[in-house]
Amino acid sequence: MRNRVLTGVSVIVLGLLVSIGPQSLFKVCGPVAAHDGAGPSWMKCHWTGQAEIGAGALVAALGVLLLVSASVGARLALSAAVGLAAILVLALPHGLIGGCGMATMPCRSVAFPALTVLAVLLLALAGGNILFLRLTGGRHE
Amino acid sequence: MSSAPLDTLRLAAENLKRKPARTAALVAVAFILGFALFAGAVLVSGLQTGLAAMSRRFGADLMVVPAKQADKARAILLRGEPGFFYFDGGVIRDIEALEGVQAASAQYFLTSLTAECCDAPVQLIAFDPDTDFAVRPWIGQALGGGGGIADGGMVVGSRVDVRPNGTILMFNREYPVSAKLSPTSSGFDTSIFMTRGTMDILKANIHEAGYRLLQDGEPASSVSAILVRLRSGANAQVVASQIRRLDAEVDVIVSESILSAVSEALGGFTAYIKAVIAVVLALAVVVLAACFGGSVNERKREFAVLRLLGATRGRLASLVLAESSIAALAGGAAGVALAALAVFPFSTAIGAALALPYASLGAGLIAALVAGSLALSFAAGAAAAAFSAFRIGSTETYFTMRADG
Repeated sequence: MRNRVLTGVSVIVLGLLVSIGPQSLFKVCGPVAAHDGAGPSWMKCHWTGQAEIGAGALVAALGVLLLVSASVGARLALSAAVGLAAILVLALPHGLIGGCGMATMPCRSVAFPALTVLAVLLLALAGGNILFLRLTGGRHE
Repeated sequence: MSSAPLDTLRLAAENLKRKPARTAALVAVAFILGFALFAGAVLVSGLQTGLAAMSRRFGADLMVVPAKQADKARAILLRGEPGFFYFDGGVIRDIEALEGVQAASAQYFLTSLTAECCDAPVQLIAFDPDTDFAVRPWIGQALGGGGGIADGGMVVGSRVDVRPNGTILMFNREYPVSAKLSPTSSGFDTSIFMTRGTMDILKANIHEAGYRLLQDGEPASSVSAILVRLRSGANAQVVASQIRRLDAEVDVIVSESILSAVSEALGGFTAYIKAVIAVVLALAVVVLAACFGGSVNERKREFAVLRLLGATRGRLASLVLAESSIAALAGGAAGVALAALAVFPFSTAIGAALALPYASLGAGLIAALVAGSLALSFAAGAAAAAFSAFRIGSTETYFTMRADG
């Protein structure tokens, strides 16, 4: 029970941070005025931030399932899914979509590093939980 | 039941597992120590590496800019804040004629638009390939010993991204990138360099695309800065005064002054970090020593029983040392891992927040800092437990058992 609550709540919190962080806590870059007078335009990192809303929500949903699943087999599978979702969280800013063209921009210097840290923590949590469940079979909870 | 022999390390690990609260406290202290040691060491090394890189790239001894534009020029040099200013470049011939001057070369500044190239305005710097001595050596290095760049090509700073097809977009037109410079921890990292000929092509293309520039009214002889290299032994301040007397409309920035001001600020900050590390180290040793002192007092009877079972005094002392070392190493390793996660991804933000030159470190130096931080955490644990280990070794079992009734 203790393991379920600890991992479930941690994954939910990290998932919510991935989801709302790029919009609030560690914002991606805002819109810029287009030089051709066509109105403000969004930079690439904005779409990474939008995609992370979905990826973070997926992670948080997996956390809820981890919290309510009593079966060790199901929790092993959910932990693996959290690990894979963490790779998606990492891949969105570092390849799949990307960010602004200069490393000093807010998205590249703050938002993407924060997402990287969250993804690494999710990977560590998923890996640790898989190891714990494999070694103990869920007996020492 | 496990049949593995109960050696010192195994016994120490079992003791740590049996007292989870005490072990957690020891690991927590070592964690804070490991975090402070590694994060502090990375910050200090990053700043020192950054200053060294910046010093190497300041190829000019003096920079002549229009009067009242010295602060703007420093912002371009140190932080890459885009800007431009112009003055009549005719004064370069008088500067070259000064006794202490070895070479002088003019540069021309422009800034890019926001929503292209790099998603932010960047500094465009055009140099004269015939007289330049400050930019071309670094371009040559980036090109692997090759000469300079031809008209039409551009060279970008280390923090400017190049498009997958090897170009950058400027005013709706693609330009080939000849090379990307190595990091300098200065404004050069976010600048784009080109020859004066390329700048003229760029300006013509801008006009062709229907844009107008603020610089359009400037005469052809206008320049943004004149970089000056001094002869060996020449006094920078004296030559700077001579240049100011030549033309009242110019100001002179002395590179030495910029670097010494940065070095002074950096020295103060690194001294502060080192002081914090020293205090954390001393506190960790004291707290760990107090933890072990208290624990040894509580466990006198346990040690006396172990003596009666045949354990030597040396074995008991090594048991305490092993417990402290395991806790210190585990906590130290966790602290180093978390510090790495906090410091490395945010290196650009840290450099910007400190407003000091901050460079990323090489793998070799990082490995050395990890090893050093773990070794110091380990040594702190061992030093903290040494006194307790000595006390156990010098206590007679008979008196211990009698005192405890």
